[in-house]
Amino acid sequence: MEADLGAIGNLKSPIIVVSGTYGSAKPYQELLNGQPIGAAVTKTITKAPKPGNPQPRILEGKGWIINSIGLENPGIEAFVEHFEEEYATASYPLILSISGESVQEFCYLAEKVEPLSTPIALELNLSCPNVDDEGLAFGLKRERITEVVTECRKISRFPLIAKFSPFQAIDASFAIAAYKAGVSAISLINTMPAMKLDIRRFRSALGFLSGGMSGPALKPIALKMVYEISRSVPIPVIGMGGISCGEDAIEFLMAGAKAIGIGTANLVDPTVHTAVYSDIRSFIEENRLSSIRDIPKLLRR
Amino acid sequence: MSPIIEKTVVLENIKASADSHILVLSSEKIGRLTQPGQFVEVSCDPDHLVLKRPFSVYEANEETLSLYVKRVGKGSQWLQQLRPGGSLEIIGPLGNGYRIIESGRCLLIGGGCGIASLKMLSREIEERGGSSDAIFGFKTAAEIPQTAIEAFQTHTGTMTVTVEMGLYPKTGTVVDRLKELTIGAYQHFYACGPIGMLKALVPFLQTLDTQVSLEMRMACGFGVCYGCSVKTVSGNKRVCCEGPVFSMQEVDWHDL
Repeated sequence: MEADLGAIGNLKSPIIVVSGTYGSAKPYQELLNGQPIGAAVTKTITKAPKPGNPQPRILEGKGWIINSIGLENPGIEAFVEHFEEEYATASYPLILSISGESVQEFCYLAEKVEPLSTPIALELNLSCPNVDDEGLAFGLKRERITEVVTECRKISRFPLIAKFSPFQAIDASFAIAAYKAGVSAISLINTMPAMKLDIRRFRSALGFLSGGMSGPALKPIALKMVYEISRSVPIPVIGMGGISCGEDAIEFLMAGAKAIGIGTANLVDPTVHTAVYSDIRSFIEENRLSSIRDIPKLLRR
Repeated sequence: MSPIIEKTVVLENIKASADSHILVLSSEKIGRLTQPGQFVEVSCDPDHLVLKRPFSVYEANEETLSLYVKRVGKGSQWLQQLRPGGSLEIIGPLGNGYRIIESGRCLLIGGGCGIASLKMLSREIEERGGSSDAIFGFKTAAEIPQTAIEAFQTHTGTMTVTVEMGLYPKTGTVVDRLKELTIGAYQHFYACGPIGMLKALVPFLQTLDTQVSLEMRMACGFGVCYGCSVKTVSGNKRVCCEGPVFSMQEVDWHDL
């Protein structure tokens, strides 16, 4: 049941708890410990502390939720200072998620986390909504991706993972740019930018104008992107988006993901990982496969 | 203490008012651990809805756990139509409950389904030898949960029920009723209800020993998503983790 993530190493399980749905909250850590989790990704950390967006931050519709947390986090200084004590009890490897508003900010963050000894990789959250002088969101230019990865590569000893929004995964060009600049893996996909209006109050139903959609409705979109991009780059793709059960996870592995991420489902049932793991194992046994690596070989055209 | 995930069975579903039901669930694990003011995350129509929903624990003992379910959206509507024998997955107990003071007179102030989090508290105060009075406010008389009010009355002294709209039993808000009392006769205040009600209480109770329980939309309920963050005088706090009970002075009421 090991997942081969190339330069990042072998994870003892293909299940990764994704960024935004993993944190140091004690009650939650206790629910996760002992489960077959390959790795967990911290909430995205930014240079300055972020207070986050106004309430309400969570909405639900048919098969989806929209969150507009606004990357609430204590900022990199406080994060690094408390990292060892807060995550001391985690029984699985950790991946750090960082996001900057500029190339310089990404570099600053990469440098700040260098002293930490336990993380196994650095995930670059490249879906930053900030708009540059040409009116493009930060991550929507391939040259910008190349630049961020190249510069972080020079600074960081950690293997890098590029995490893309659905807009950056619409074709493989962003993934190829990130690969050429030196990332070790690609995470697909982040939440989908989304909104809901309150027609009685004539305004956004969220405290902020819009947020990111996740949940089961995202799955078919994410799956197609994982299928295409895993065939276009020679580095591992970590597939995520709406995975809530074993069948969902197996679909992503069959589509070409080397590991899978569970996010929203993990907020509903933090023990979902054990069930998903057991379903993947049963699938491998039922189909007389020798490992997870054989799952994509089953897929016929 | 680590929260527990438990499969429970509906033992009773009692219609309490025009828009609320009391669900009594079997619970061998969570019920016995629950403290007054804590909450649980409840699976609601899991084939169609994504997230669990947070509910205050109305009552709990060694074998059962009860929820007070007001009809708000699809989740609560689904819970209200459950029959005995139906199953529900719950996670709990969650959050920090009320700090209970052994001496002095307490005043409980509840608005709408906010009364739910005060029920165990009223029993606990009585069991520890304290005494409490209560003011409960509802929108209309149809929303008054008569059986719940009677259950409260076994643990509290004077109970005042008021409605915002309508004549019975008294017209006015909980603030109107509070003004009629001698506030100085009480040492401790506990309030749970809509944000508007809590804000209206601030000018009267802010400088006193007042604990409020906040309600907020949540995705997880156990501290991970930061969906329920509120501003306090000491920075952002998660309603699910550092709350739901806060000191009234601690909350930044301008932001709510």
